[in-house]
Parts: sequence; structure tokens; C-alpha cells
Amino acid sequence: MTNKSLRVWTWLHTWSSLVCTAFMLLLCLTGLPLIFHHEIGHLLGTEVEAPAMPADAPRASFDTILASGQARAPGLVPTFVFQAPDETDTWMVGFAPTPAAQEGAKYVVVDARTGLALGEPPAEEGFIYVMLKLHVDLFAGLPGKLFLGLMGLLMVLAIVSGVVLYAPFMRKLPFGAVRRERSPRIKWLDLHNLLGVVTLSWALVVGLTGVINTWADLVIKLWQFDQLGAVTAPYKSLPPPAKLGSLQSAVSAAQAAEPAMRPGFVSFPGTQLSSPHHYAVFMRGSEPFAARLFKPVLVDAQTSQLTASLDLPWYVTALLVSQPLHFGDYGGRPMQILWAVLDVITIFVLGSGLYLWFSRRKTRQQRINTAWTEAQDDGDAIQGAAR
Amino acid sequence: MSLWQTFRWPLAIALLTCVGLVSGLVSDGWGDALAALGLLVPVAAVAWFARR
Repeated sequence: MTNKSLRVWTWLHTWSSLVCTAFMLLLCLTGLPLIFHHEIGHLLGTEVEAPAMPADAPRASFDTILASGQARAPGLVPTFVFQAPDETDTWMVGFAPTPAAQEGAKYVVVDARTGLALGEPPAEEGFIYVMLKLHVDLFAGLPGKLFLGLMGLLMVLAIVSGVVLYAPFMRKLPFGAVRRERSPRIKWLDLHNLLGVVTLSWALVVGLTGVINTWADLVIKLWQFDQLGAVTAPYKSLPPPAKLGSLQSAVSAAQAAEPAMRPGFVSFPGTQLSSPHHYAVFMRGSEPFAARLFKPVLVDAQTSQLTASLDLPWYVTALLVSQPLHFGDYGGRPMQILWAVLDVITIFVLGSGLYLWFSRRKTRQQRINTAWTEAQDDGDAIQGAAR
Repeated sequence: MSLWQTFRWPLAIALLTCVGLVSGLVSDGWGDALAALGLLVPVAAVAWFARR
């Protein structure tokens, strides 16, 4: 590598990291409790759990589940019914003032077996909510998301430039060398290089999938205009239904269309993930990977007749795949712990990078001060000799 | 040292981490175990070299 290209890559690495470091530190710190949000919910008493029942207990009708939830949310309209991939005993029912409302949401957890409402997890309050909002959009909505996405891209640039710089810095050192006998700056430089290079692929995957997640709103909007718009075009001129048909009938129609899958999410008419005329029943497979993906089945909200069963376009699939790879919620407790440790190591990499920049500035300033003092001393000596 | 000698261990760790990240996605059971092992590699490397 020539001196010029080394300088260019060093400049790129320094400034791409410096600009994003404060935000990356914030994301790492807020991401840490989010890894354990279920456990923290248990500790805070906000996690709602279903009572133990035999595994083959019969399932309640979706109409019963919806009615139980609605009884706890008077004056609000249902927006979705959701079940996590590893959950079978409860459904979360979402409500809002209007189908398209972005605020004022209320959630009710309903027992999937008995159809009884079990509790109302806090919707827009509490420690985890604050951490989530800071992590996702800095309480700034879509602009906040896109800004964090930009910071994520800078982090990716910092990682790539860091890899390029790794070679000239480590050319004469064995892998993993930490020169403890040298100055603190050299020791921290070696630690920065070591921690950065071993967590390289994890940080790249989490960084890139995080960037993709910041585009979620745009991806969904694109899907609405693209695939959803084309399928629901014949309904465009019709008025929205005055009264919605049975939710259970809609889910049954979707189940009949995709018998090998199970419902994971139902979006109500008029919400972001459906049309004003349809229940969008998102079916998921039973295999671990397929359970993370969805197949939307559109059912006429009045007649409960099947409109279409769709294959999601690649950009929505990419978004869905990027979510577990960013959250690290797919490998049980060991993965949660390792995800947290890797998060802490990343905090260390960011902190050591900051230390290296400050210490280099300090060293440079000291050099300038010394040169200035020497120059002044020389000047005094010349003046003295002249006198 | 050649480029290969400089990057062979970082590359091996990166590949094993990727195998871990993907295996947990595609399979429960052995997939989760392999995921934990894959992600343990960078953590173990940090622990080993930082303590040495």
C-alpha cells in the first residue's frame, strides 16, 4: 500500500467512525436491554404469560379472541392480531383510535385456548419502550430511522476501512498480538485491532441488517404500491365495508388456501399492511426458517372469500430475514448471552477507537507545544547573542 | 508477513461466525447448538488473546 492510499484509508476510517461513534454507542447501549426484553419484562412484571394447560387443549375461535380484546379496548378499532414464531398459547391483539393511526395504540394479550384476556402490556410507556424508541428512531419517526440507517452505513464503511488498514498495521505482528510492554496507546491500538477484527463478521451482519431495518417503512410502502396495489386494484373504486365480516371465517379461508402453514399475523382492513377491503392473513411455515417468513393471504373482509395468496417480493423477504439476524432472537438463551457479549465487545471497540483518536490529537498537540517552546527558546538565545 | 498470513485467522473466525449466524436460522436443535459454537469463536478468541 502506498503512503497516499494509506493516508486516504486512514482518513476514511477515522472520520467515518468519528461521525457515527456517538450514535453507535447509543445503539449498542440501548440494544443491550432489548436483547433481554422478555426477561426484563418478567422482572418488571409487565410480561403477560398464559397459564399451563395440556398441549392438545382446543383453540378458541378468532372471533372470541377479538371480542375479549375489544372488551378491554372500548372506543378503539382492532388493527392486528399477532403471535410470535415461538409462541402458541397467546395472541396479542392491537387496537388504535383509527386503522391508520400511528399513536394511541393499546395491546391486549388473549389466551389462545380459553379466549380470555390475560393482560395489557404497556404500549407506549416504560423502560423497554424508551430503549426501543431510542434504538429504532430516536423518538423522531421516519427521519430518525433514516438518520440511524445513514449512521449504520458509516459504521459499515468504518469496518471495511478498518479491515483495509489491518494489514499494514499487523504486517509484522502475529495474530492477536497485544504489545503490553509498549506505551498505553500502542496497547490500546492492538486491542482495538484484535477486538475489531474478530467481531468483524458479526458487526457487519448486525450493522447491515440494522440498516435494512431502518428502511422497513419504505419497504412496506413499496409493497403496498407494488404487489398489494396490483392485487386490490379491482376494489379501488368501491367504498370501504360498513361492517367487517367474521375474523375466524377470514382465517379459515386463508388456512384452506395454505393448509401446510399456520396464521402468524392478521392485519385488519385499512391498516398499513392491508387494503381497506381485506383482512391480510400472514401465514407462516412450520420449519424454523419458514416460520420467520410470511405468505400473505388476502381475504375479502365482507364475504370472507379468498382474493389472493401471494408470494412476497424479494425486498420484503430481505427485510424479514434481516430482522432475526439483527435481533439475535433465534438461538435460545446461549445466543442471547453471546449476542450481549459481542455487543459489549463492540462498545469496547468504539470506546478504544475514540481513545486512540484523542490520544493521537494529544500527542500531536504536545509535539506542536514542544516545537513552539523550542522555537521560542532559540529566538531568545538569538536575541541574547545579538544583545 | 503475506496478506494471506495476516488474514487467515481473522478470515477463519469470520467464516465460523457466519456459519453460526446462519445455522441458527435454518434449524432448531443442532442448528442452535452450532449457532452458539459459531458465535463463541470470536468471544473465545477475545478472551484468549486479551488475557495472554
